[in-house]
Amino acid sequence: MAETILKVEGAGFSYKKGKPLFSDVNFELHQGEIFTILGPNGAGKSTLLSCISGYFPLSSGEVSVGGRGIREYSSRELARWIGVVPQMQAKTYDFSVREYIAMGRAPYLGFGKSPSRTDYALVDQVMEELGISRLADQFYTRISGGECQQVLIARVLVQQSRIILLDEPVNHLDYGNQIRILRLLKKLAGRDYGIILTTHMPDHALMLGGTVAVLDRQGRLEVDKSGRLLGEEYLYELYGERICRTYVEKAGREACLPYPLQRRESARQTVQEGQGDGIMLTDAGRSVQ
Amino acid sequence: MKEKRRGILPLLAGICVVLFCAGMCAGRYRLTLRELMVILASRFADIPATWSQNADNVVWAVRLPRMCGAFLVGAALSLSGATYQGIFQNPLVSPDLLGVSAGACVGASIAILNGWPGWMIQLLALGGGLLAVLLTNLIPCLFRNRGNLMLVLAGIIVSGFFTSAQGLLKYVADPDTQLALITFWTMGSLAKVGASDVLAILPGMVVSAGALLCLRWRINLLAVGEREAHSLGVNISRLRGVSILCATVLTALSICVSGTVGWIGLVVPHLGRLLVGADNKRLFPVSLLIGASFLMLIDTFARNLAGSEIPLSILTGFVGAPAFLALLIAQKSRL
Repeated sequence: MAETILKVEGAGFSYKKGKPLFSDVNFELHQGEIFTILGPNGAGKSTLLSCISGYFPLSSGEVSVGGRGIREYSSRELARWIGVVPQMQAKTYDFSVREYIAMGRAPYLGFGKSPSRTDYALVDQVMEELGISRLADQFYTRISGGECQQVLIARVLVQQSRIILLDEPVNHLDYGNQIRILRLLKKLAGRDYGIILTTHMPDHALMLGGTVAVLDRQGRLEVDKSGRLLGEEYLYELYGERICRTYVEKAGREACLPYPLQRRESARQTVQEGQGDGIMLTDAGRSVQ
Repeated sequence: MKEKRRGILPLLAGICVVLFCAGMCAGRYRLTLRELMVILASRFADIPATWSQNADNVVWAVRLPRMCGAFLVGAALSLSGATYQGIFQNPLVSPDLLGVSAGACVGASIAILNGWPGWMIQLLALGGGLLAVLLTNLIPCLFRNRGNLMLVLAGIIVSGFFTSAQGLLKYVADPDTQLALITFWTMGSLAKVGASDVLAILPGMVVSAGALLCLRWRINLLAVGEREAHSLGVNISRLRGVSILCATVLTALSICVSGTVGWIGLVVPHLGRLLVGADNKRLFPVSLLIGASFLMLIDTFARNLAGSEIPLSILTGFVGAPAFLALLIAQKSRL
């Protein structure tokens, strides 16, 4: 097994005077592993990520990276271990993309220092790798959502942290960009980054492979050991909707698919009548193009 | 666009020098550029005197300190404006956000009411300004909430309180002498700036401005938001604390020689951003030079437009408000 780079033990968090958002969260992250956290809205997935990155202090338990608790690190040292790709948000100032990515060098620069030529060389190299060199001099405020997410990932790569946390990285992206970002994450895992992400799409968890965990409404994190969490039974329990888990032959992979929006009767009709180009999924009772 | 705008710093420095010379020559006692150069050089080289003692006085005792004052105050206000706008991620913030102006006005008014001399007015203005910002910074500690919003609200509370105190002081002031003096002071003027004033504020300004210029790239990191700054390993409270301290010292030192001068700290960074973008690495030096040029120009007008001195805030307002509107129109697509 690859080296364990991050360990969460007995982690719990509650806002002041509130009931705990989550408690007794335990898991390990290994080098090159993708750890996908699913869970309903408001379960505390983002907060959990914020605690792992050290932005919110845990109410109980401990997060350790490289064998030491994160509280023992200075913020600068910790940023060399853990990089964060935040949820996209409003931007006040229009920095150029190159300048924005260069901010990832902050943990390596002294208090009164600016990035050097070597730092910018690294920035240019990462932009080249991600194929976003053409954006270098454009304003960060004026690029599209997909490009924006790539820029954020470029910044975290420039930060050279071994662990990357991503909070719903494919939200608000169009379908093509969602797939491209997932592919990029898979590639980064292949380069030994440890990746933790949250998502609302069980299917994305399947596509990424790696470890799946669910943070439920009771604030428990269950790590999938047996494949139960992406099974139909549990998904129904989690989302209150029937979801079909099946192997799609044409796609050559396992997939999670919702059933048709109409009732089952009309769905069956579609099965009988539909003889188009799409493949029929008799399990899901609807055709997929 | 990067290449096109590379020459902007030398250009602005050039404008600065031109405005400095123009301001030195213009006035009731008119000088030619040649006379000015000779008089300035005479202190460093042995040049036979071909000019009157009057001209020498005008240059060395009156105009040079005043132009230097204008340079320093303009540069300081716009640099601290750019800093505040970066720290608070809000382009509509000006240096008196945390109450420095209101506090300085109260300090100065107290000194004026007591009939204390000019240097005491300056000292109390400095003390009042720093005290107000200190109070503003203490309020968030009460709530154990060190977020930006809490600090801004604390600034509003402290400013409001000091503004009322200022109103009270004006109310009890002698309307013929003291009230006029207080009013004139709160509108800003460089008329009374002498060499000793300039030398007194110079060290503090150089140190603070130097520190801010060194930190300017790091202040970019505050502009992307606290959460992101944290994930980039920034010690937010230390960086914000040092930046606020430096920006406040700059503003307070300016106010204590010139009174309160409005608009510069708000408008100049905007103009700078339009020219070179939001990156503080370029914005800070550019804002500094624009601010210095702008106030030297305004002060030259203040001396020469009318028979008597026009308070600076009147002119900066008349120029600044329409300029701000024009800037908003020019950058509307980016707001």
